[in-house]
Amino acid sequence: MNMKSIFILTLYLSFSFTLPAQTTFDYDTDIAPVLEKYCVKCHGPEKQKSGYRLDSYEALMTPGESEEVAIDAGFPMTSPLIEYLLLPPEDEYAMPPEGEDAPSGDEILTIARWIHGGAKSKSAGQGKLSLEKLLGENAFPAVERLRTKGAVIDKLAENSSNLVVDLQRLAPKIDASAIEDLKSVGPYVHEFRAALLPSSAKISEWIGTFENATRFDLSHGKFGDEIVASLNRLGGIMYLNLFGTQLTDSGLEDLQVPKSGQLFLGNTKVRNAALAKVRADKPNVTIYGNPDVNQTLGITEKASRN
Amino acid sequence: MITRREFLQKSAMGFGTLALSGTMQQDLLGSTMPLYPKTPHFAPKARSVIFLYMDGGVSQVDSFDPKPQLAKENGKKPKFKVDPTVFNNNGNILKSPWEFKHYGESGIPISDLFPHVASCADDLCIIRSMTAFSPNHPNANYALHSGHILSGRPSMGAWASYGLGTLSQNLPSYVVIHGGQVPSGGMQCFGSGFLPANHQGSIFLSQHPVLNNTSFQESSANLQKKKLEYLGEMDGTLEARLSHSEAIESAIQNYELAYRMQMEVPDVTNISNESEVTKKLYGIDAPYENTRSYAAQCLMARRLVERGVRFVELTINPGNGDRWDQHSRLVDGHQKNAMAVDQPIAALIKDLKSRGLLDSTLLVFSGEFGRTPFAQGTNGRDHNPQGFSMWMAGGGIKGGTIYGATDEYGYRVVEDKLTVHDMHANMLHLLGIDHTRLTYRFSGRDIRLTDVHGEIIPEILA
Repeated sequence: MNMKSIFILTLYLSFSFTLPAQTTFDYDTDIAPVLEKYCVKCHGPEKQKSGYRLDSYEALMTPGESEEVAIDAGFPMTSPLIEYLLLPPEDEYAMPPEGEDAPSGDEILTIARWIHGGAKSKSAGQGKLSLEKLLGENAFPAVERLRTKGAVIDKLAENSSNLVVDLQRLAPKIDASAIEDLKSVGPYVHEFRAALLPSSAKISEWIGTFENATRFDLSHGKFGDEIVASLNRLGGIMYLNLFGTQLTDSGLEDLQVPKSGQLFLGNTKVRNAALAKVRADKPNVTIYGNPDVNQTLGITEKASRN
Repeated sequence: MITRREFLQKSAMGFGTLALSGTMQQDLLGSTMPLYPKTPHFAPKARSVIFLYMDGGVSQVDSFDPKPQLAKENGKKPKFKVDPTVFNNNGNILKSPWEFKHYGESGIPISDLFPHVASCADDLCIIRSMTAFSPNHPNANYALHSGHILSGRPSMGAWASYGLGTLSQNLPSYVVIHGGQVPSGGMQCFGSGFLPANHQGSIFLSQHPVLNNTSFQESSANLQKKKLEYLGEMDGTLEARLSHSEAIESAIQNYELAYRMQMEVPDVTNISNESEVTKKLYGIDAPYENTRSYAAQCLMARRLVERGVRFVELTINPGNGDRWDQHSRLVDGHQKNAMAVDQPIAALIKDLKSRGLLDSTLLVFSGEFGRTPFAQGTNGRDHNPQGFSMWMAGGGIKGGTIYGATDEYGYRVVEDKLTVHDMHANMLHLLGIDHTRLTYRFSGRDIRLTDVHGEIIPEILA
């Protein structure tokens, strides 16, 4: 860490009075939102500049190409992340790069204090728990009941605290009690696969409980534009599959998610012009329509001529 | 009474008799669902695999690995050392009869044998440095499927089933959609070896009846259920008397799965309700009958994967003169084999992509070995295990890439050599399985699909 950074950090530590008198900080509540705002665009699922990601606690603690962990727990002054944040914007190594939105002094100070306090995450390590312990005595029985009805629910991976919920067998005959149970596991769900949901499932009334999910497969669902408003509240969506639903051009116009990632609109009521428009409007989202059968026929025809 | 957790642990280990307690999983027979999904070691990229098995060995220099040097030396005696081949009737350098063009943004060169697959170039990761363990069909087939050149080891599909179970409890976890061409080495290529028998590949045909005995023979469903329950009771009593009874457990489980399949199989294999556009896309109405039949297989594969079947493998159709094994008449044989699979495979990629399934489905296209860059006789090519091409696409694969290289003739690998162990390791990796941890104790050893080998290749992963 160069002297200039230390000087600037000292300045912040001495003169920042606006920070609330919070003494302990946690990754999920205090740090992740800051990183999400300024860093994840280039160091996340879409791009991994310098081979480095900051979109999860585990990623933040894993070195990129430099083979240097960005966080030295307990020591903000020797944590490369702090150094990069404090470099003057014109410096080659300054992060975020010159011209991009940069975190405020208070935000940097929050990160520094979090590192000083040991760079902890309450949720990290939860992944090691069994599903039963992870969900506790309120939500786990709901999982058991849903499984009995044919849902497949499991942790994403051994050391993950995220759940994958697959309703392929339950969805077509889902009932009110199953929906109640889904609501209680909603916050734990990372991926929700529920093709063939009937309109009677009234999905817009409860999909909001899946506030942390990133992948939603709602394909072949018997619903359309009426679910758009509730989907829009789920800002973390990275994969949204509406293939075979009744979505129309106007629903698509109102749809604000995913902000980046993949959106599937084949076999809906969305017309090609609207599809083209949304493709132009949302360069960060890859939008999939129906396969181009004319291209296929053209290839066959050309091949048969040769 | 057993707890839920005990149940899951025990069923994961395969205590078939628990099925008879009927306390869990309110299915038709109150089954324990031995193939209930298991937690992956790490977050999976792919949920399912579709293995496009190109029986006989596609010629790499005529498909995915262009070698202009062959045209320059066409008809000349090879300047390089030629190893003995199977027929050892090795002729002169034989240039590719097909032209290569560059496709997609990636500009990957693909020959005119595969114009449809070429339209998906940016989705493919072409591995040009694959090798085989044997120059003989049966041994290379066993190795491709099980990592071992001798018969009797579990197939990769059985390992995937053993490692992860399946999302559809009414279907087997490993399905082979059989085009009719029995691989050299036999259908045991798809076997479960020493793994419990419920992991073995179930053979579906591409045309009706896809599976025999899937309709009730009893006068009522209830009567059949009663019979099966009685059968299960007798098997359970026998199992209780024997100390080691894995075979009986598997038999009980397979009876129950077969019962549930009666409901699901006719529906999942019925492609008549697919839209006309989809049928056209796959080539269900193609002029060449083997395209039609492979189209049905690919469409069925998509429908199985949609329902969560873990591993689907497609064998080819025998009506192309021969498998991809053109010891003579390369042009005719390869052209027909390619025409049968090209459009359906491209359609599968495009259809999966449109439905949001390509990023969770790993497609693997490979034969058991490649073919020689020099002729066998005048117009054929012999087996070449020393370097050939395969490709992967979909779940977790970096599309639009080429990995590895053969020499200027396409004969031997010179860069980034891969073996079947590496292929298997990467397939399991994408499914969320650490291949070094997926073991089964047999004859006193903890055996892996990848033996003590297998490297994860970061360059091919997205």
